[in-house]
Amino acid sequence: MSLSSSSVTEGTQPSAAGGHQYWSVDSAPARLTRSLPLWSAPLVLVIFSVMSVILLFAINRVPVLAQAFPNRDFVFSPYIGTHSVPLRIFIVSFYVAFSTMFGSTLRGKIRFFLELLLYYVLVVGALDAINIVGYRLAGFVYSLHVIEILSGLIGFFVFSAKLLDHGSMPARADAPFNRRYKLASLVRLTIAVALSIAIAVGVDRMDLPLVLDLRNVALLGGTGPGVFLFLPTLFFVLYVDGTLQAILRRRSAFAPPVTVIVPAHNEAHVIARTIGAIDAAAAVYDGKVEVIVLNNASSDETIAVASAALSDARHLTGRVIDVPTPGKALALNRGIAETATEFVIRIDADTQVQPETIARAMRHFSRADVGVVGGMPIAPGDGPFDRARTLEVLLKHGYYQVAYGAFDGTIGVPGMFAGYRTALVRDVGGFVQGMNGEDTDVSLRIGELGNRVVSDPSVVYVSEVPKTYKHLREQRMRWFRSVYHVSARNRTYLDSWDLSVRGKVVLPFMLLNSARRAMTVPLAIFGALHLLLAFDPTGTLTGQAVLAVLLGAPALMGAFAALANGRVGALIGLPEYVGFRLLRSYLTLESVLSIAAAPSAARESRDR
Amino acid sequence: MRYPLWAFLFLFMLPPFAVHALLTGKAEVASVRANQGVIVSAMLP
Repeated sequence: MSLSSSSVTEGTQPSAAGGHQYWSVDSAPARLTRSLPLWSAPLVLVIFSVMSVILLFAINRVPVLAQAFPNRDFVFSPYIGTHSVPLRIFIVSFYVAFSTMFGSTLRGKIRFFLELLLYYVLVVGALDAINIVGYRLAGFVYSLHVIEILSGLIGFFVFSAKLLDHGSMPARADAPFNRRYKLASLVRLTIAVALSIAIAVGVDRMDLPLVLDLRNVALLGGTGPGVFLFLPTLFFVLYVDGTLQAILRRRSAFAPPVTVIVPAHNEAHVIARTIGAIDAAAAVYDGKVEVIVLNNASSDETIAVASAALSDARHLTGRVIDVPTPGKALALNRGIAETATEFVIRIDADTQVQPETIARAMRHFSRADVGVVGGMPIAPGDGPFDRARTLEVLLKHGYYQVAYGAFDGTIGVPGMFAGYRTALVRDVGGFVQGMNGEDTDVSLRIGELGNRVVSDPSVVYVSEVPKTYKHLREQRMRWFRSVYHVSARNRTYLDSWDLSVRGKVVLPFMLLNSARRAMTVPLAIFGALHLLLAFDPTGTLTGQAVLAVLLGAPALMGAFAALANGRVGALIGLPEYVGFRLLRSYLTLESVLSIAAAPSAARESRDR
Repeated sequence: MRYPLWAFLFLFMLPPFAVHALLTGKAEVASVRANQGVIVSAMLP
């Protein structure tokens, strides 16, 4: 891909409050993304609202439809009970709204919508068929709650799968694979799933009033029968398992020579501080530390500032290499090529390691099976989003990553700070240029090659948090697109017959979750419409229920993660965190909207 | 032939939910008071 062809990067280089430029060639990879006007997502929400009102009115007030669907949703099978939100209507309304903004040609939009709808109808149709057959053969029937939740999950998954097909995505790459640990991983996950079902059922049988109340809040992945207890329980069981494994794991003193590579694009304002922090960490590290700063097409004083900081450093050796072609992965690959040690650590130029960070991370490599080590990026604490970010990090890196690690399912180790066995980075083809998520990509591939990917929350470092909404938007659109880019490039893990738990379970779950997040703001609107219009006299949805799902559940999880990590002080950020979650959902919607549509020729050649 | 992506739903999502729904009694066997509309009624005996 020609990097210089990226029209987005030319002329319009936004600057952050600190005056430095954060926009780079990697902000919006050419061909894969399109520039997204600020009005696109609001327009999608307006179209979605209109569509929802029309469908809700039709199914409740048009006599023929009301008679055909007394359940007040497009459910074609027997059922018991009622639902709180007609999720099939919600999903179809969202598909219509999203399709109107996807791609540039009318034909492309219609085709995308029809494929979404067709696949959705096929899969929920199969679910209904199972229900009909079960009813005829054994009198088995689902409650409408269960049908609705499954319909929602299917709707998310179909959306992500079709976006992967129709969006402009990186080409499929060779996927290095080794069966080592894969069977054990599946067995461990299966045991955790069985245990979680047992716990959820046990709690359910106690008939606690609280559980009964929460069951009536059958909104999407948030709460409801099954999801309410089962998924959080599963993550908790895995978290306990992962923590126990970390405690029992043998730790030997290990401090081999290590090379630290730091890609830097216009980082003159911070690079000296970053190098100073590495120097302080090198002082307490027993092995030799070499730092390679990779100046990547900077237009500021990065080279001069970095060179001065390196010559001031007392506990490390270092040099600056100029990589004039823009692209972070190009710089990183140059760094890997220059690395002569068995281990390499990559650090973002705006990441400040703590004195013990390097020593703590490197200890994990005393085990020969460890290929990648990551830690926990804490926020500096002085920005508008920092308190919310702290809770987000505690939940993601201090809780979910530990849970994924329990069954060797960790996919991404963030590039802000990541240690690798150098040879493995070379074995999997280095860092990929021209897409988002090159850090996730490399750790996924090293993991699939039969190595352990460790995410240790006690390896703490400070990572900058955007200070303006514009910068946050740029960062999050990049991050949220990465799950699609990584899945597309590594599609072989998803669709080969190899036993890859990451490819068959974790990545699809992440895709489903990404779609769920993109649909969270529309769902809030849908809940409000359903409540206010009150077309459905049998409806059980309450305003408290909508609030519980949107605000209560995330607050609960955030608080839990803070306590599990012993960071009681972080609880002060809960109100901001809850708002931040909604903002993040909105940015996920913008992020999926910024994915360009693939020309049909490109799609066909990719499918082959 | 490639492993189908949507198998994720039928292998890893639906069975745990079905088991959970059955065990907690949210899916019912026999004595169902199913309240279905004209379309579903036409498909049933």
